[in-house]
Amino acid sequence: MHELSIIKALIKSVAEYQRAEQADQVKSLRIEVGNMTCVDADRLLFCFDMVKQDAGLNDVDLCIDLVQATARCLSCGHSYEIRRVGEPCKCGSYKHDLLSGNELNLTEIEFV
Amino acid sequence: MCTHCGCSSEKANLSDPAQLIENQVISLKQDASTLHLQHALLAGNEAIAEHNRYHFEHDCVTCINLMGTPGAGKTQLLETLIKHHAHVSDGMVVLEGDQQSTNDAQRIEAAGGRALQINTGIGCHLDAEMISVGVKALSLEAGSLLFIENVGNLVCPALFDLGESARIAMMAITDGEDKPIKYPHMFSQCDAVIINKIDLLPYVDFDLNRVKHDLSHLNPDCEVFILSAKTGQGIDPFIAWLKKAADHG
Repeated sequence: MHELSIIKALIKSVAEYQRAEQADQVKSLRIEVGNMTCVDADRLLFCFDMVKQDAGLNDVDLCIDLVQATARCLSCGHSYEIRRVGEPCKCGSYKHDLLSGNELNLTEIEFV
Repeated sequence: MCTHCGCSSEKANLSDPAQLIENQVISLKQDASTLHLQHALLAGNEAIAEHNRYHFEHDCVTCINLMGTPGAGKTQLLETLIKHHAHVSDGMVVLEGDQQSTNDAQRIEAAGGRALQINTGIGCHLDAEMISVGVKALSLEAGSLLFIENVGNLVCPALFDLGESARIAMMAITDGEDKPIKYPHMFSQCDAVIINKIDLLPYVDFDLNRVKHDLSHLNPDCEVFILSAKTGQGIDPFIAWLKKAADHG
């Protein structure tokens, strides 16, 4: 269950920014998750709910932006949206570079 | 519901294969008190992994992250290397990852190797910090071959860079031929795939061509080794790959 490890890393990062900004309270958090990361957004929310009270983030909303992966085909150069691992290009090639889809970032912290 | 990881039937995600994933954005009011960032959530792990990698390269240590199903035969493969392939396993050290028990480290030592067990408790994967701590305790000699036997799990270990120079995903024919398409992240993010227990092929319904076909789509550049860690059948191409991976010129 790697989602719990990710939420723990999120909470640690938020605490660091909170200290640096000398902010009292966090209102909301926003993260982005690429669909090639093997990380499940619903489970992230569940894990956040599980640990937010102990982290002093009880009233904080966690917003998740899902990022659609894109790939560039290494055979024909075409860029395409890739919805699952191992999806081929229209030309039939399975060799590609991922341009996006591996995002796992904290993108916004809103303070009260 | 599982209190450790939150898995539960209510959380099971049912999806129509034809349905597309659309970018979903949940709106958020923005004002002057909002901090805009691009902070990688796994940056902490990645920094330690890079630190591990730097030391491995500096000390000419080859580090291989051996992942796979529980029961794939990961420990047996390492035992076989130690017992029968001393020319590659001389100077080999194993970091064993399991939730509990020191069984695997004991097996490696009984085979004549050197091992340190890392118990992850409720954790389902090894992370770069655990490796950093383990490596310090081992005080590796220059030129060592370090095998990390990850926790038997086809999901979580794939996400965590440990600082390794190569990744192996291992399964056995008794696991069934559909493991790569069921767990595509693991099998698409490795340098080599080992399909073990080929000596059992006469007794198991396993379509070798199907699994090779699926791997050619998921990971067209990976090496695929079909072998038996028990009998040694088919192991020579893997030994050759390992020697090449451990060659520091």
